[in-house]
Amino acid sequence: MKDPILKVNNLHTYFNTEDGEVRAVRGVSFEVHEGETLAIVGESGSGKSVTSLSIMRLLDENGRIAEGEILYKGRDISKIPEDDMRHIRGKEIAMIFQEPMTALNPVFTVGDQIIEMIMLHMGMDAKAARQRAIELLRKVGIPEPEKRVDQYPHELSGGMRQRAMIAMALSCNPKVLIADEPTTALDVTIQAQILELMKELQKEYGMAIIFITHDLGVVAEMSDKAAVMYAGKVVEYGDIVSIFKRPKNPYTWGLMQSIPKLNEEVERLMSIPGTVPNPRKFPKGCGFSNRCFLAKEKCKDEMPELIEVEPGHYSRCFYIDELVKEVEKSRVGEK
Amino acid sequence: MSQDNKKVLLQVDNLKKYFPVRAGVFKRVVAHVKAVDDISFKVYEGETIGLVGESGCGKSTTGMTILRLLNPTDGRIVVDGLDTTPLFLPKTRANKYIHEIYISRFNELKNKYKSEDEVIKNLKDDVDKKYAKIYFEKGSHGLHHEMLSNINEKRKWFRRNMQIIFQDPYSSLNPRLRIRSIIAEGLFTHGLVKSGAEATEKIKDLLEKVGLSSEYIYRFPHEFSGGQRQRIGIARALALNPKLIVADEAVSALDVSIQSQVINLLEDLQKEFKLTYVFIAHDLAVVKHISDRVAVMYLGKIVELADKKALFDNPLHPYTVALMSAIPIPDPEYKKKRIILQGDVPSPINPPSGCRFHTRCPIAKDICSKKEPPLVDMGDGHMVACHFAGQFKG
Ligand SMILES: Nc1ncnc2c1ncn2[C@@H]1O[C@H](COP(=O)(O)OP(=O)(O)OP(=O)(O)O)[C@@H](O)[C@H]1O
Ligand SMILES: Nc1ncnc2c1ncn2[C@@H]1O[C@H](COP(=O)(O)OP(=O)(O)O)[C@@H](O)[C@H]1O
Ligand code: SF4
Ligand code: SF4
Ligand SMILES: [Mg+2]
Ligand SMILES: [Mg+2]
Repeated sequence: MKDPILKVNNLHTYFNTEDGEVRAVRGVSFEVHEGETLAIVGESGSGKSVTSLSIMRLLDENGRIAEGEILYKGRDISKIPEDDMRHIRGKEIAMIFQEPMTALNPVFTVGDQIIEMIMLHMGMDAKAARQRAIELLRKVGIPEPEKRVDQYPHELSGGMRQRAMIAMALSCNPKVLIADEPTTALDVTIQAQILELMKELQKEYGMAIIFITHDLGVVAEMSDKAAVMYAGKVVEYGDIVSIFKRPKNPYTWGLMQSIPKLNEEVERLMSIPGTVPNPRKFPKGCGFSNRCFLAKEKCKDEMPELIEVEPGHYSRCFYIDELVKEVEKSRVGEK
Repeated sequence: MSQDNKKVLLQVDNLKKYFPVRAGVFKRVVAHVKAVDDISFKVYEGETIGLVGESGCGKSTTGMTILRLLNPTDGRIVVDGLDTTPLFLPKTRANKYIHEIYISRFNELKNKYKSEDEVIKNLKDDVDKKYAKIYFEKGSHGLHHEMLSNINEKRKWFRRNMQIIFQDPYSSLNPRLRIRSIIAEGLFTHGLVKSGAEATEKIKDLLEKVGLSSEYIYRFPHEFSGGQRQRIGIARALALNPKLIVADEAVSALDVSIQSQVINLLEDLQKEFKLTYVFIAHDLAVVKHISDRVAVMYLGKIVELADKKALFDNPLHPYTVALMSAIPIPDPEYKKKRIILQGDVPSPINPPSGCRFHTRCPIAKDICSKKEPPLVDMGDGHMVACHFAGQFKG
């Protein structure tokens, strides 16, 4: 197999805050190949966005990559000068942000912002860039792009803003597209269009996609493999079918149990009790131990390693066998 | 299903909300965004009505207009038998409204039926009957008095009973205020507590109700997770003991595991306090789980409205069919046939003629671009606006 286009190796990202150091990402590794889609799933605060901002080198001032490598085409971009990074960001690796207003400047029209990107990276003149911007807006399903191109972000609905940002990210045909919850604000027909669009562009340009989402339906649909994150660590990693069919981590399993399913009527949804631990005081042991139905004393004190449970499928948990029994039991119950 | 014996809590008639589009140096109004364009529906007490549809189709605008956080361009909003529309209009417009919607209509009907009793008998809506009775008994002055007296109390009553939970648990809470102040504000405005001590007690109770520790009362919003903030938003809405809550994407921003906690909470609170929900969301599995009925909007219109089971098992509008087919299924081996709608999403500034879906509808015929299909009851309250309802199966 070819080398991965992007490989994240033991990434640690920490923030300095008034209350001390926040270890938001604590040893994350994964890789994506050209044309492949990796989903990153996980509770909010688990470090998904920090992971992607680390790759983009867009961390806030108080944040730093404390350890690890980010290899883009084999070159560690975690330490290159900002001037070099500027040629990679947006052109080679582009990102769709979770919150459109972080990417869109409220005082410029949507069009101006996309046009600027295109002129900067693709060397087009203003007129050609404007034409391309309109085409992109049309491609992501914005009605009357000729008019919308001159509107300000606040004049668009939430979903339209999201689409405008997607257009901006795609404007320079990036090799790696990091999409941080790109369709969360969208209704499903537009989501289907955009997912389809991303798949098309992926086929056309061999773009690798890192897709961050909490929608397990979208994960199942879009990705080849997934990394499930919890409390700054990857707790399960593998190809998509193994993860959905044979989950090996109690958090992943709980997640799958919590979502309402279209073909099942339930009085009450299952839910994982409690909330994610505060990253300022992650437990010494397993990050999920305060919510896990299988947790025992050992889980509170020791951190389980990520181990390979079947070829290419990894899980971080001391009691995988017990989980497997539970999963089997409930699957029998379903039938 | 018989809905006749249920109490209508909210009735929306011919609601329109147009936003002006301005351009040029002088910022002249050059067009209007028809965000909500003539929609009517009823919400029964204690039910959850789901509102779904394409982004920008007017769901939030509908919610905000119902709550009078936006002023409607046209239409009537009746809450618990009270026409609340004129309460928020300037005096002359309020008078004009009462004249147009009631007085001149009642006069016309009286000419037609020749008897006041007949007019009342032939009016369909309870609100109309109520106001007709008052008009015939007490005349125009009496009706104006009925509708516009004690206007401040009525407005307050409305504000108290109609609450909203916002999508964004981050920006919807004032970061500079402690949880106590955030929730207490409404309690004091509406005179629901007499002293600071009483407010504190009540707020502690509310926090426990929504599954937060009462010890959190003096903390700031930034000290909470998204799910916890959403619970605070819910506690704030609940504090005023409302009848109706519009939940605009209230769980969309939450983690799946937290989402199910909050949905369960909303359902528990609904039972306990007989709440009515207008639940706006794009996650159809969630909408299906929580709603009793679901309204599907497209470009400012309601295109289908039905019991959730009827809607999900037997969608009759081509747009609804496409919508259902687009729902991602959390099973990587499940291959479903997806209808990807073709064509641009038309603009609400210049909506297509006839049926607004005709530019993208897989089965559109000639008539569709010429004649607008009305929303009609196909039986058992399953309402559809399509000339060829039920003919597109995907
Ligand atoms: N203040 C405003 N000024 C001008 N147009 C507006 C304003 N607010 C909303 N609109 C327009 O009204 C239409 C409906 O917007 P609305 O926010 O109700 O959509 P929505 O259905 O809630 O969409 P989403 O799912 O994206 O939240 C859109 O075309 C939007 O651009
Ligand atoms: N600039 C910052 N300063 C301090 N903490 C931060 C900063 N940015 C993110 N964090 C913390 O890092 C953790 C991971 O955040 P994030 O990656 O955004 O989570 P998510 O998985 O939801 O995307 C969170 O606890 C967050 O509060
Ligand atoms: S290590 Fe313990 S707490 Fe962590 S997931 Fe496994 S059983 Fe649960
Ligand atoms: S009225 Fe015509 S265009 Fe509209 S949904 Fe029905 S078939 Fe399609
Ligand atoms: Mg994030
Ligand atoms: Mg909205």
